[in-house]
Amino acid sequence: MLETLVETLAIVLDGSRLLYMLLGISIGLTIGLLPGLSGTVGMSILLPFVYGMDPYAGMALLIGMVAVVHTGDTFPSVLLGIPGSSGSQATIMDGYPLAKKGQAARALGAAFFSSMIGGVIGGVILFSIIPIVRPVILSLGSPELFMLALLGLSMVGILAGKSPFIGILAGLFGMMLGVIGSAPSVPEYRYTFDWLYLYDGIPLPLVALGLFAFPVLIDLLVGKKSISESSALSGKWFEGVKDTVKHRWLVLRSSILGAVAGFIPGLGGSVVDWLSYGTAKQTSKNNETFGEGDIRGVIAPESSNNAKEGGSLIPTLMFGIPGSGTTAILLGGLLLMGVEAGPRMVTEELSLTMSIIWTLVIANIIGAAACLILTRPISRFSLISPSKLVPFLTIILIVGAYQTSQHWGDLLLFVLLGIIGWIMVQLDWPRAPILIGFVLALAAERYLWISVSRFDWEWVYRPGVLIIAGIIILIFGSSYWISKIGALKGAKAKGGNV
Amino acid sequence: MEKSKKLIGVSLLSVMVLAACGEDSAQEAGAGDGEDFYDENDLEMIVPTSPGGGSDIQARFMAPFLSEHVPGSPDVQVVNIAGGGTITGSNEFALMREPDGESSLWGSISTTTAYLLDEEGVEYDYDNFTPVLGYPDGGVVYVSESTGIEGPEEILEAEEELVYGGTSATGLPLTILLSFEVLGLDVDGIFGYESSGPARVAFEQGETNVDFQTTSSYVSNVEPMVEDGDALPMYTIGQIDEDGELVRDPQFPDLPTVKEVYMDIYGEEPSGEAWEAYKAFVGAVFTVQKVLWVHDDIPEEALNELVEGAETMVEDEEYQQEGEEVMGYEPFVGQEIQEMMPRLLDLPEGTEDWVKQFLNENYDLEQ
Repeated sequence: MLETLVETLAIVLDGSRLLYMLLGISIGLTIGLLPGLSGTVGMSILLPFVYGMDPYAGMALLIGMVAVVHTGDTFPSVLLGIPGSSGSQATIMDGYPLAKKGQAARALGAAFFSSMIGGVIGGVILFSIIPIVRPVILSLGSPELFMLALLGLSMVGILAGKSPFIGILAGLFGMMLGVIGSAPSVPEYRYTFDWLYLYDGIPLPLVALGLFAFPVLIDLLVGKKSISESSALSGKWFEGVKDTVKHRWLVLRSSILGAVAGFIPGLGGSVVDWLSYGTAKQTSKNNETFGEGDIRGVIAPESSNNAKEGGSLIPTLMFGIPGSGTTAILLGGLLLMGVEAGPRMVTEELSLTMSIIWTLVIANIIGAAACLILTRPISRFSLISPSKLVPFLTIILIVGAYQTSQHWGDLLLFVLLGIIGWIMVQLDWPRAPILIGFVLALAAERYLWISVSRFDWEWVYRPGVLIIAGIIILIFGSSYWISKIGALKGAKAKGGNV
Repeated sequence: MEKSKKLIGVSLLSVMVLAACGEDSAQEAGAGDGEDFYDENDLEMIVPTSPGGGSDIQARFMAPFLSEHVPGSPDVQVVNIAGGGTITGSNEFALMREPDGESSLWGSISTTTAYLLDEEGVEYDYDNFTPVLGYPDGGVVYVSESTGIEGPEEILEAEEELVYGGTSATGLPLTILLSFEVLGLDVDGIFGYESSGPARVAFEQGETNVDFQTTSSYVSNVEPMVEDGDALPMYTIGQIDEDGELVRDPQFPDLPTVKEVYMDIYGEEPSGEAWEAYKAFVGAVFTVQKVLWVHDDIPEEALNELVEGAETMVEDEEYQQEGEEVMGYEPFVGQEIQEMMPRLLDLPEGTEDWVKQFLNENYDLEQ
């Protein structure tokens, strides 16, 4: 396998393929930069062009694009508090406060550097897991997948912060939004009000944009202040890099979490940033500064969202089951180039798989380097006065919302969800639980349904199920315990650490 | 600074690429001599699924060839209108597009099933469409080695309960369920899998032990299992020939059809309502599965040119060679498919009701 890996590097670095990769990277960065556009959009744009290309060049283009979307999407998350794609929402929690303090460059430096490391680790995991991938995937039956969905939902407790009750309510509200549309196992439609637009459910990008981007627009207009409260950009990106090195274990942990979450088909890939943020908050010392501009709150989600791409390619390439919209189109792209995903990807097509790993690693490095260079000029955005910025943003956001299904319903829902998001911001209610509930609702329902109709209730005693249940109880227990201790500590050292 | 300027340049370039892709990529100046209809007009191909699925890939593969072969070389633009299990895009084509020869619909199995079962939200009517080109699909039903079944003739003698997993009883699995009914096979149906990919993984996990995959997926994912002895093919879905008989799938000439398996077991030809329903659905959703539809009242010269283009396209050697993997089967074109479709879509009297009742009784579905 190692031999093939080395041989493939020469294929990947061949002139024209390298150019395709660079083109892919620049498109990926641009798509990440524009709020509302995700890797899925990038894929659909590039798909028509890969027909007739040789698979190595085509994959260089597609993977180069996907690899860096979650690098470029950090700019709007940090600078504007608007998610650049649905994978970088958690970055807002601490990245945006840092930008407000004038430390945008530091936050971006940390984000890009940890994205780079995360992406590379994702590639390494993809490589090292190849020999054991079948038994691992095959051990995850529907009952285990249901428990994993529950594990994801248990994050709601952590992300709810000071108000667990409201957090759980928000999570339930998210689940309600998630069940709109066709039911997973019977041909029935729920809460669609006979409106065909709702038959497929609410698109995820709309929920993300509405909850997180719309309130920012209003605040910018009302506040009439530029995002950075101090007029000078004091932080340097190199400081961020140093921060990342200082928290290297956090980077490693978050990257592994990201790759694993991406690897589990049909689950969590789109909320991996939140899972990682929640876990980081949960397991870090002095975590009371999270949410107020803690650099660790930037490093954790950014490491994991790039690592996720490596993980999510595993079920896609080796089983032909896409874990997300992006990988679904990637499968189509492969087919257009005459390659069918499946077990053969690690036997006859091994060198293609290796080239994908190389592309992932190289693209992550180039993409992060490009972003680091662009940090200074782009950081100035946070100094622009809102009256100049808002019209531009409004147009981008509306276009971004409208492209999700190109139906006027997109705009209506964007505004509706936006108003809900804005009210929640005013009341200081956590919004992340809505998103987690929304994403995991259908997965939880689907796998519970299948588990019960296949095994009645005997699935409860499966070892995998019991292990995951233990982890969930641990998380709940520790979050209760930590909040108790935190409250005690907080009372003692009031306002000590900022 | 020099470097960042360059990079900004690159990003600007990619923005331009993005912008260019949003519109018709190459607007040809309509400077033709006016002889061909498509000198002046372009063709939109509506795909009612999101990009990347099997039928979207076929449409995208076909588009440049169609553009080359239709007289007047129109731009052929693939437009994805996803939603409602292909209903949204099909409705949009039927209701919102003028019959001016500038739009077409690439319908798939879900489009036809929803139409035949008259599902909620269907507002299109095949009676108002004309087919230009159609492609069959097929597939194989296979069982796990754990069932102890050693050949199709033993399918009734499994050592363990047979469990089949699929998406939803009214989707693609419907025809498969009907085949179980024909054979008198007692199978526990588990539904809710996201698509046939995860259903296949459930088979590999042992969560189910009977599965069906369409031809391309069977060849790439199941044949390795068969070689390893983990899976055993039982029968193909088959095709309906001109006389309405079920015949072997040309992609799997060595595998029997349901009819042959039935005759092996029972010693007589299958008959009855389940058999009629099975044949009707095989014909309507497999024998011609993907269809390029246009409105039936488009200008006559437009239809003629499209048919002519499709006919020369399928003769194109490059198209045949490169399309082998994407398309799988031999297409039906023009006159041939225009005669076939009404026959295949005309369910026998009472079949629709029988199928609805069958679903209701066995799978608790109020249709």
